[in-house]
Amino acid sequence: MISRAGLVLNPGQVADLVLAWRQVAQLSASISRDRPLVDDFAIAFRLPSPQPKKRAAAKPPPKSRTKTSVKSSARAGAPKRPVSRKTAPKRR
Amino acid sequence: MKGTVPAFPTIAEAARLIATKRLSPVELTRMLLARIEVVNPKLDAFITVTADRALAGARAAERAVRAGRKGPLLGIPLGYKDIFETAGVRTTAYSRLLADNVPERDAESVRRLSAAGAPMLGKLATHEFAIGGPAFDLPWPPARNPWDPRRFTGGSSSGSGAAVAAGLCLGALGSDTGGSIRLPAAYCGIAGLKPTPGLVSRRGVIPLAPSLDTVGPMAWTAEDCAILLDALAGLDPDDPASVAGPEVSYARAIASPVKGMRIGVPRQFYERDVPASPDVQRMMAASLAVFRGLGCRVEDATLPPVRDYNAVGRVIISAEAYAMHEINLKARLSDFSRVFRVRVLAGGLLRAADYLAAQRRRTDLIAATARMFERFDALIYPATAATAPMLTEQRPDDGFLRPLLTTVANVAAVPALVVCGGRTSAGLPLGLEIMGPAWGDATVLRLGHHFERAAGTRSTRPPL
Repeated sequence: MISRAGLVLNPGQVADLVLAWRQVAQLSASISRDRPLVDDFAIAFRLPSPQPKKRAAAKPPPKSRTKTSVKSSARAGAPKRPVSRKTAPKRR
Repeated sequence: MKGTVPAFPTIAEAARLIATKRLSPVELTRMLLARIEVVNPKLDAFITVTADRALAGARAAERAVRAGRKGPLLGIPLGYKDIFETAGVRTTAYSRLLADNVPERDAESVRRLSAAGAPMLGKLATHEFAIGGPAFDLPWPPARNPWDPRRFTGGSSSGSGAAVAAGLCLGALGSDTGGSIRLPAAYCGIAGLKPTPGLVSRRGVIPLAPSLDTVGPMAWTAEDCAILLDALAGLDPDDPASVAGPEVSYARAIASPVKGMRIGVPRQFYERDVPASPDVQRMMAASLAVFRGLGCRVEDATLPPVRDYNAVGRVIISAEAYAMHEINLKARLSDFSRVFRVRVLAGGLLRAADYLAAQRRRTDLIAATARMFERFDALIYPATAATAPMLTEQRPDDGFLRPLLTTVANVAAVPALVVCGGRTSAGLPLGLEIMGPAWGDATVLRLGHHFERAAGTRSTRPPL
């Protein structure tokens, strides 16, 4: 194994490596490999979004309006209204 | 700007005094440099002291204060673990291989803290390339514990833990792959946060195992860690794992009361999996009483065994650390310390299938841990099973033999804060770990802050 890994070690270093390898091999052997074959994407994980509340609170876009009044287009640049308590997501 | 310099100000206290012009950043920096000169030879916490850069930074901060600029880190002197690149200042990673390495630019985290006005006092001791234990076959000695210099600081952010506890700097940066911020925080009696992965940029920090590496703050209190995190957190396009993070001020968030919060206690961790000493058991019982007194609901929680998290963590670290250093391990093996060789070389014998099995099992452990946070806001357990061991008791293969409670949070990809939970009758500190859900960094800091205030664990410094 040592030569396959391309390592050149003196006897003391070999002794250290044997000591360490026994430990690492034991740890590695303790990890379950019994997984369904369809589970091959499990090598990657994704954390939840850091902003779950805001995403949950996002409203769907308004249904198509054919007319856009001057008033509503002026409102587009105005500060957004705060999300009401009713529409705010519950804290998990 | 004149005033009395408190002997051991926290970041929050110093910032208030500086903002009201009752404390001069220059005087504060001079006081710390003088203390470093006296105390550092006993602790070996600093590998490099950058007195000129520190004083230049302090003078700039003082000018900024006079000009009306405000900021919680303006004029707050900090230290950096010697794996953080610092422009024009030697960054060795405590290795002969980088003995003459002088980076051209600061790590992103260092840059952000400098931009916030924090002068850099110097570079702090670590274990070689942030892995292993205290080594006596390197050009620099290992850091020593300020509570008892015969004892281990914990690592690998060993100098950061020692320097903050001894009051040589007001805060420091560390890195944490399996517990390297939280172990020194526990053994040295300070606060240290391993943030949610992606929250703090790792650009310019010499990697150990990129799947698990995180960067985080270390300071005397949880409040100070929150102040540092406010400056550190945020998207960095140069770190592929970086995320914008929640829109929150950590320093403000910690003030909210903790009454009604649900705390889970994985008793199996310290009663069965890694049996804790009687001192640690007593600290846990007393700490849980403090949280109940704060109005938290404390209940038992069950997680997978600590050895499962550790097996996954150790295999990933071994494989990735070997991959990082393979070229040098083959060409310059004898230049590494024995501890490093023992901990890393075996990674070269692992097969790709072994590494992938560990990564796949990690996703199960992440899911199992996340499920626990549907019931609890945070989980609380001891950071270590005992107090700091003697430096002479450390073995090169300790990292494999003794499962670490801290590694749970690295494998589970969640934030975890260590605060001082109390001290033994001999005066040695004991660490309490507060683990939260992904992006729950504000929650763990808030719980840590209220705990520190209620338990009164922040009044005594090491007797140096």
